[in-house]
Amino acid sequence: MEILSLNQISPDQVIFFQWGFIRISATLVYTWFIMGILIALALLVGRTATSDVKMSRWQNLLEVVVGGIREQIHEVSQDNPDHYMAFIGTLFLFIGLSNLLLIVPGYVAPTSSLTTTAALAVTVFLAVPIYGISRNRLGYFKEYFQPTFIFFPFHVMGELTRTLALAIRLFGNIMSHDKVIAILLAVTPLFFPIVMHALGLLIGMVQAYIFSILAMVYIASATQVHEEKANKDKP
Amino acid sequence: MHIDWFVFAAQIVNFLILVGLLKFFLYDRIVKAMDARQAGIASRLEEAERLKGEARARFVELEEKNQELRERAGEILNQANRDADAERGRLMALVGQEAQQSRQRWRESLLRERQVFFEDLRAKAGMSILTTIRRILQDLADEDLEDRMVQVFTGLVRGIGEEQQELLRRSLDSGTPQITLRSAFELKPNQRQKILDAIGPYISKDVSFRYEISPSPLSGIELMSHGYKLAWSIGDHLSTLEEDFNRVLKEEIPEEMPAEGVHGEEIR
Repeated sequence: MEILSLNQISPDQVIFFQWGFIRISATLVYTWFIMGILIALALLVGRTATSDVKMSRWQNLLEVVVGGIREQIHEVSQDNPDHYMAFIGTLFLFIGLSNLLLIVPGYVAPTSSLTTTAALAVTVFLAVPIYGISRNRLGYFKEYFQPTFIFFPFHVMGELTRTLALAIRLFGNIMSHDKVIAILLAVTPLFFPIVMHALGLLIGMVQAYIFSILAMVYIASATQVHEEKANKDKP
Repeated sequence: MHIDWFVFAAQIVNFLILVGLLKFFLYDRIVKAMDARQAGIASRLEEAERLKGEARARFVELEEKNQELRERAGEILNQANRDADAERGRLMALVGQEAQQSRQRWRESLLRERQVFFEDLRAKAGMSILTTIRRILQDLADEDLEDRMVQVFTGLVRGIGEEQQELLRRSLDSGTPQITLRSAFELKPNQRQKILDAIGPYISKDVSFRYEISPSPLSGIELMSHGYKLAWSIGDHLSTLEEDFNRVLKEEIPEEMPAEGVHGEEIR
């Protein structure tokens, strides 16, 4: 059953329910689906989480994933990873699982919708100043006037364009891959689509990693530049 | 490129809800469990390290004690060996002494037995000789043995020299003039007369004679005055015979035992 036809670019175009301006599209439904899986897994593992050496396989899996994310965050930020874990970790898990389920027939990744990727990019766009201000207070804004106030528009433009790049990069990769798979199935229905699916899994995980790491880099640059400067100013 | 703004807003809200839920249900608990496990492992490793250190110290201590005990055991063993050697030496000396004493007792016992044997032999030989001589004298001369003994004795008296005669006279002059004649048998009157006749030339007439019977059958006839004695007895011959016996016995049974104790060597 094809939910998203080949000529439909985004799952936003597949409307399941509409009441006024409220439109329940395939994007939202699959997003909830992903959220449901993640929350169920969190409940399942979190409820029985044990500090004992013997643990359930699910806890072991999630500990490996969470441990890996914390390690990456620490490498980038050189800071306590628990400050950023909720945001960066959820970005990676959501995008990663969303892309991973592409191998399920009939599934449409929410990340193949520009609306979703734009929403995630905007959360990153908002998280950067939030983390920056929470760490450096109003000193965070001074960075926008460095080295002179003339650079303020360029800084703002940079923030906007990198947010746009985040959204477009993820959307373009996932959407294009989805379409390529659909076209290849029509052209070479046997072996080749499987290879492309495997490649798609790799691309999906790489994109999740890139999105999360870039978000972390942006946040770290906002929190650390001022700290480094403050350290330099110290006698 | 179309963006559905309702979906856009909904996705932001969805994402924030997901962040909150995962933070509460997943990250906090998992990280807490991981940190607790890490701390537990660290504490257990620290405990293990501490125990290892204690075990090593205990091992070293026990090794030292073990070494000390080995040395002490060696000392005790050496001391025991020395004590055992000393005790063995003491016992060997004691055994040697006892063996020497036993040998001495055996030798003394042997000597006593030999002495008893000789006395017995002498008595028996004396009696046997008397009997034999009596029988021979009776067979050959048809005379009584006592007569013959008296005859021999009178011959002996007559044969004494001047010096002996002077001694006899002096002894009679020194006290009561009495001569005692002791014989193994009772002297008959004619025998007494023969003796008086023989001694008469040496003495004066007022000398009294006293006759005694000797309890020993080996004694022959003895003439005794004050400090003077003239005798003929079978005992003299028997003494010669005893000396001969003694010499022969010495040749067969040496008085001294071998110098080195054979017993001691066997015990060792």
